[in-house]
Amino acid sequence: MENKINISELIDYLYGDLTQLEKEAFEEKLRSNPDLRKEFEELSAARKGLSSMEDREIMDPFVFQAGYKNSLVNKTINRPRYMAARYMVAIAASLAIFFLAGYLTRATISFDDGSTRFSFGNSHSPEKPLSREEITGLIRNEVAGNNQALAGQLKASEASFRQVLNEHARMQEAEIRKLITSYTTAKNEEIDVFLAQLQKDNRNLVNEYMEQASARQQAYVQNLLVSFSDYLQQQRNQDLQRIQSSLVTLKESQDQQKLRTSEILTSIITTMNTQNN
Amino acid sequence: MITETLQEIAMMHIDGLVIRARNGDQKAFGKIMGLWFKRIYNFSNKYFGDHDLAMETTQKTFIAVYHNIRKLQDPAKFKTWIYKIAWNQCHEEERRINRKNWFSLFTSPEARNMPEYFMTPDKEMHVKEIGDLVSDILKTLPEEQKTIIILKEYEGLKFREIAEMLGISENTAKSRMYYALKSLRKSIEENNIDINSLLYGK
Repeated sequence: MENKINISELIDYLYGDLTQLEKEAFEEKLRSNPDLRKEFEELSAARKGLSSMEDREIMDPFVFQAGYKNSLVNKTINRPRYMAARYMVAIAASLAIFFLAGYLTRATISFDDGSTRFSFGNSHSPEKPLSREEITGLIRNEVAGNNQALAGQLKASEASFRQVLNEHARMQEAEIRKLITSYTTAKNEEIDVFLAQLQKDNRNLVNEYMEQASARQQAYVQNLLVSFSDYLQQQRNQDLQRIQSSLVTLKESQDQQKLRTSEILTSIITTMNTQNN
Repeated sequence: MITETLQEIAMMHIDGLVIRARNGDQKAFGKIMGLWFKRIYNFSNKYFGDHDLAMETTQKTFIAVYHNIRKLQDPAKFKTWIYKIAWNQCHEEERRINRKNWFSLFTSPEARNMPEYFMTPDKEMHVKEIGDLVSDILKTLPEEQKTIIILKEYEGLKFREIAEMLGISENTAKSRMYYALKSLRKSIEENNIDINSLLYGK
């Protein structure tokens, strides 16, 4: 409850309406109450915004003076006195214009059989209405006439359409013939020259291809031979290594054999010596 | 500045002029009009944000003052009395505009609440200016909040005078002022108006 904002006090402080003591007490509250401070800052900001709107300067009014008929107040004060007369004159003038326009245009208003008619010029009484059969006959005649006219129009359109189509077909045929004729009259000499040139080009092309193909083949065979001799050399090296290793193995087995033989001999000699003793 | 001060002094000592005008002295009335015309015009202009409407309301106010000055018993209350007449005229004019706009099928609801002046291209060109924006915001406030802001901030009336003029208690007047300023602050924020670029006072 202590934090509840006293609107009246806040507004008074905002507009400087507090006494010195009240002001100091309120400022103490401002320091200790952040909510109150926030409220105050918001209201101050709003007032700051209002300060951007200034008074507009206007010309001094035409000050009322006795005797000046055209002063602002005089003009308006006198207005009501003449207002009724002005309205009456306006209504009378409108009515006069209305009647004059009616007279000039010979406007008539008539009420007949429960209907109201407003007309200009000479008024004609409506003719006797047609019977149902008469109206049906009129419609039928009108429709038959329309149908006949439409059929005639359709026929004429069809004939003209066919004529246009035929004309177009003839024109296209003539064009195609003209084109074919122009192609067949080309000179034979030009064809020979063209053929000779074509043959020459073909020959050159084949020669060039053959040269390139033989060069590629030579290079391929050369590579193949080099690869084959490399292969042979590699094979021979491998064979030599195998023979060498076989010889080493044989020698080792001979050495072992020798060692075993000498051991046996030594054993026999030892045995013989023992027996002799 | 000196002229304003003299005018303010004259406005403070208006009692004599009021008494004379009340006795039918038209020169005295002319002087009263000279002294108060600008204030009443600016009150109306801030109320409507429209020069033509403000001029019309101001003229009507002085006509009403002329017709009724004899009824003013206490000349000391002339200030609140004339503002009350001006406020009533503004009120009446606003009602007339609303009635007129009610019949207009092609007017948008927003446009019905604001005078045509705000719709002109000329206005659109200047609407970015902060003063005009604040004026626009002021127009959107409820009528009683707008009136209290104008009377307090621009016309410098005391809360006692405002309360007397509007027929409310002083505390209600302060409460309305508080909520008016809160609404204004909210609208200023919503419209991204940079208040810090403004200076206090004039």
